[in-house]
Amino acid sequence: MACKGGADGLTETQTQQKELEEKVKVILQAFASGSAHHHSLLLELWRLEHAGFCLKGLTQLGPSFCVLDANRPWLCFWILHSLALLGEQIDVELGFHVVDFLSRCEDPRGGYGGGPGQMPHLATTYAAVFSLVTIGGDHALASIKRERILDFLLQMKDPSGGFRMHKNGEIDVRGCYTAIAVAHILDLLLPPVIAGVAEYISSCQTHEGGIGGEPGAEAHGGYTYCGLAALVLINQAHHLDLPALLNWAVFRQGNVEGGFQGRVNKLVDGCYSFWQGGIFPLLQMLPEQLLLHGTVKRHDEDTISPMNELNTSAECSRMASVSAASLFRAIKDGRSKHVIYEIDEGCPPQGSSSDYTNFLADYKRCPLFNTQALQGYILLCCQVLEGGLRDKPGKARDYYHTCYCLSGLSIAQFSLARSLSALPLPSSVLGPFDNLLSATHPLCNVVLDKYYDANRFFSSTSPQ
Amino acid sequence: MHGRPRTIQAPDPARQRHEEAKTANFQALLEQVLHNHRDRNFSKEALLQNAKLLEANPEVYTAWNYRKLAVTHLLDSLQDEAARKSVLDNELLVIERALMRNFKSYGAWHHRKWILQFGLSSLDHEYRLLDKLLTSDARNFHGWAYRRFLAKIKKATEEHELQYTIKKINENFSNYSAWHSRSVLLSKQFLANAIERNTWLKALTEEYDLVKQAFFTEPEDQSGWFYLVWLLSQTVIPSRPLLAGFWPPNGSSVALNLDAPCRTRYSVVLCFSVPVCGVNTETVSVRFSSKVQISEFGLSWICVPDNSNSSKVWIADLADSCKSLDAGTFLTLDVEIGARPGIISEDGPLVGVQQFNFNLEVRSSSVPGCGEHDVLDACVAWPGECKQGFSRCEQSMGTVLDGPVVQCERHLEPLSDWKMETLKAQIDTCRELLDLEEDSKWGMLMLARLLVAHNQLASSHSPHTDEIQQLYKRLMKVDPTHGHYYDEQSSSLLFSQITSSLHNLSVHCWKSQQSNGDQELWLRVNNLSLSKLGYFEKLIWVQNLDLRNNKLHSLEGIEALQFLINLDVSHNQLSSITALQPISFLPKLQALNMKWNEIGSHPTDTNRYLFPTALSNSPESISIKIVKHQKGPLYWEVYEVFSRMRLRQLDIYGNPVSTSEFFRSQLIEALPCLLWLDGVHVSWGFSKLLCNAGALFVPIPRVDLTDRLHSQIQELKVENEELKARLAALEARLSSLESQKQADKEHLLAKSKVVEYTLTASVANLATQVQKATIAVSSKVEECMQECRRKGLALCLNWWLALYLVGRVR
Repeated sequence: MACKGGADGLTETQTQQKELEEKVKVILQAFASGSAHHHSLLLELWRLEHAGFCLKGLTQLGPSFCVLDANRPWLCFWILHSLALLGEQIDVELGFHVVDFLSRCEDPRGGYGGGPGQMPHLATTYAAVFSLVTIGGDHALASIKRERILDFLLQMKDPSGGFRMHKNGEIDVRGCYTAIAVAHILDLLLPPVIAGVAEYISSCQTHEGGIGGEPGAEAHGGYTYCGLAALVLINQAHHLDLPALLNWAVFRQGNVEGGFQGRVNKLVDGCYSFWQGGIFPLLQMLPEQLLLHGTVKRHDEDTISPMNELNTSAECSRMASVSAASLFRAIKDGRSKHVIYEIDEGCPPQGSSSDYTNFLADYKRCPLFNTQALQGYILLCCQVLEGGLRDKPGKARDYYHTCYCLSGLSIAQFSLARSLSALPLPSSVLGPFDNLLSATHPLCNVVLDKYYDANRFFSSTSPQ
Repeated sequence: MHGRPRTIQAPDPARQRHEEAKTANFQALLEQVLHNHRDRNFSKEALLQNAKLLEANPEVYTAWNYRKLAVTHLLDSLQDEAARKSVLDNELLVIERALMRNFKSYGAWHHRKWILQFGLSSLDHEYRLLDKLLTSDARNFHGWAYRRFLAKIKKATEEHELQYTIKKINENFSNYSAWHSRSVLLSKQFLANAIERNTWLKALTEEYDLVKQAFFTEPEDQSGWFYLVWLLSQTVIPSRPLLAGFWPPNGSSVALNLDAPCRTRYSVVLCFSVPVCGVNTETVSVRFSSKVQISEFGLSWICVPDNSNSSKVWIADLADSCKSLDAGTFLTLDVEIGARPGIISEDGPLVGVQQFNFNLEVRSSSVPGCGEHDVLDACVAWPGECKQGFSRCEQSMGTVLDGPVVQCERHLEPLSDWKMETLKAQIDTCRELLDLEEDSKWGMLMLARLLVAHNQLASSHSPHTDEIQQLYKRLMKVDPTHGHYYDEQSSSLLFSQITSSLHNLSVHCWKSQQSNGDQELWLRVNNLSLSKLGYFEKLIWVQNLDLRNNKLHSLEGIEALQFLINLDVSHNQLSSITALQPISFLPKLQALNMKWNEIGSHPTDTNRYLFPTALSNSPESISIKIVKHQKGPLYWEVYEVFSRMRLRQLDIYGNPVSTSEFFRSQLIEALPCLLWLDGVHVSWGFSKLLCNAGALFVPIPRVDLTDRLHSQIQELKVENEELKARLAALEARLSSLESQKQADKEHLLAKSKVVEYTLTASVANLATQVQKATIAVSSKVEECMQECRRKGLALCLNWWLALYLVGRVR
């Protein structure tokens, strides 16, 4: 094979990988040469600095943030969630301020946009809803208009089973996850929302085992987490070939670095600490039989839906106007949810062949990734001295990476605990025990306490 | 979701002002564009503003939507083809500029696809553009997706696209995006039946060669290995559901006692290789033949666990169906599975037809020979704890198992020679590679997997077992980062190996001599460090199972063992009551040993569970019982797991939670049939026993119980001593650590003092040296001056002398 390589016969990819490994090795050697006291100093999580960096972002942003102007609820989420993981409280006034801002991003027809006046978008809706969940309290939670959000979700539903990110926008696995996670926390997982999602997501699983953004695409960490989490949320993870998924995810963890890469033969990146690391707690909770038995993926006929979206979205919104109203009427009448399933014959409940909701949220096995190595990568290679976390040594910090490095750290610390809500032993926390972050919900990525608060709030509220 | 803001550190004021002005501009522009969007203002100026905004930030998806509306609007007003094309070309230009700014923008790519579907743009131009992009960023998944889109529009052949992937692979064989694309294209080609079978096999052979070159060039590169996994999956047959085991054994006799309690009832059990649904009287025919005719025998099938509609294990209670029969009835039942369609799984319908028959004799309790095991008044002795009375079955005993062990023929399509040869060739290739690169982890992993596949297909039983285990052991050493994964893999392989054949099983069979002369058969899968079990289908017959001293975290799958009576899972790593959930589906289980596990070692906020979440569903019935336990902590999992069981003996000693009085009392409440808890009779009251030594001497119904109690106390004492010793050791260690810490501290202090002292000393030293140098320099200067003066004087003198001499000469 004619391989164009560098001076030493390596491909470009391999050269980059070697360079990064060298960088990490320098850090690790510096670490290894220190004394024990030195170690615990180096492995400390610089809480104050990170919190300072985050708080600064919530009150004032530099001009370079123009590029994120269509993602302002995301900024809120990344910062608020990072602060919540660090155990920091934001003061009440600031909280009110954020709630006020987010409600200005809300579209009158439902859903949140990237900023005031922008069209509603599924990803920013996820960000806005979970920002409000993270702020918590009746004021923040009551500002979410459930019925309108259901309307929006149904408008975005595509006949292929997936969701469009926004009106006339693209369909991909992100859409499925953000829609399902929002529907889950707002107690809106109704048959028309769920219908076809499992088929769509499983059509995106590739032969490697991971999940790509759309049918035919290469497996990718972010999409794999989104796909698996969405299917676990609707109890249909058995549609995936889980042993293959596990095999793919396990080997995304770098041998030298300890962090995760997003795709085969790419460099590690701090944010995949969550996207890839977050896959493992989900696999730890699923019943064993799903992980023993694999199916062989074959690529079926291209299921990419036709491009004439104007028609399809009109169709969907018609469906929405019928279903959402009738569904809510049913809830108001005090009928329980399974009665609605029976009424709605158009969308029968999915025949889930192995219902694992009855298995408890207990980790059924050891984490199959190296939790210590991941924590080491985050603490040694991703922390920026001035606060904030980054992709890899040599890159600049930002809020996105701060949020997902910290989320990944929390996942790694709690993976050795025995269940979602058990406190980990000191030995499973790398560095001083003070590094322990708040636990994050592995399916929604919000702090556990806030998740339960929201759960109670929305399961007891009647729709507005 | 992958937007990456960059923070810029400390800009200078001028630049900051410039940036601020830019931000203000951007904000104003955004306002204007959103305004135009609301007003449906599609003027030329508005479109220009929009383009400017998108060039600055392609992420503003609202602006892309505005452009879609504008384009639709413009196209409607134009009839001329050329004019329409120019509108679209203009759009492509705007998108191109936006992509220059950020070629990961979802909105921009989506808009481009939308424009292309009008069919008026030049595809060649698109291909050229894309080529440029994929050269600068070969892994851009938007780019690859766009290429798939173009191929679809252009109706390019798979062959054409395959050529492109091989070009990219040749440029950089680490480019996995190209490998992936290749696999998708080849699958499509195959599924569309575009090529005939022989060509396909040839194509696969070529792929094997390609990938072999890749991993021989660089064995550490992941691309080739993941591609090889796909190739293998195309070569080896996917698993199809089949019947893996059943009970009662073919040709056996079952005596059914209608009056006996539940646990001696008999069920028919079917075990499938994958979860299936649709097992019912329609799909499973059960008939009995009498002298006159053949009639249907109605069995009602339920799956285990019974809360789902698909499962690997299905059972039917014989007693329910025999109620109408008289005692003394003797029947031969013929069971046939798979003759009629209807049993299906995710992978498709059941493969193969299976038949078996057994004799059923209905008895009533007056008939001797049944029900003698009903009363369990003595504790069960565990084979791991009590050496007497247990002995290994001799090899010849293997035949004893013949009856109970269920062996199903595997219904495999006969492998074509090509497939078998390919598998063997790949095994050889991996061995060859490992000869060159001894520690190549991918090579070892691949070889292990190939050998497993070969094992499954080989007609003789499992020739590679030891080699596979060796490979996994070495992998754990070479690549500790992924050690947990290797550990699990090798554990479940080992377990399936043990259960795979009669020969392997008989090594693990022990018999125990009961006091009444009966023999019990124990399966002992102990001391193997298993972290995971696996398939239980072949063990349905097991009544006594010893899993002592492994590394189990969960007992999932054990619900298949519907005849289990005694289970020993002591010395494992079970860490919560909920990990025992699967055993709550075992109706006959009487004695459970879970000593020395880790239940309760992790503090858990149990209240949290009481709110239903996506992953947990605590039954409402439990909330009623909460009221009863206001005083202490509620272990509601105990009710969840144990309340449907009929355990008579439970050993929980050695778990952190076992010291809790509340836990014990709730256990006793949840298990009404419980007689023995940690070897002490429940009715005696454990707490009293511990607090009041006198309780030891209260009249005890049987003498052997006192003995037992004494030995129990002795055991406790010994353990107490051990714990004390451990505590002391720990304390010693703690104090030594503390003293070491102190020593370290002092050492460090001393060291810092030394450093400080050396520093001052060297500073002083330097100062004196500087002084000395200054002095030396000044003295030198002085010297020089003197020298100069001397020389000057000499010069003067010389002059004078010269003048004098000149004078004299004159």
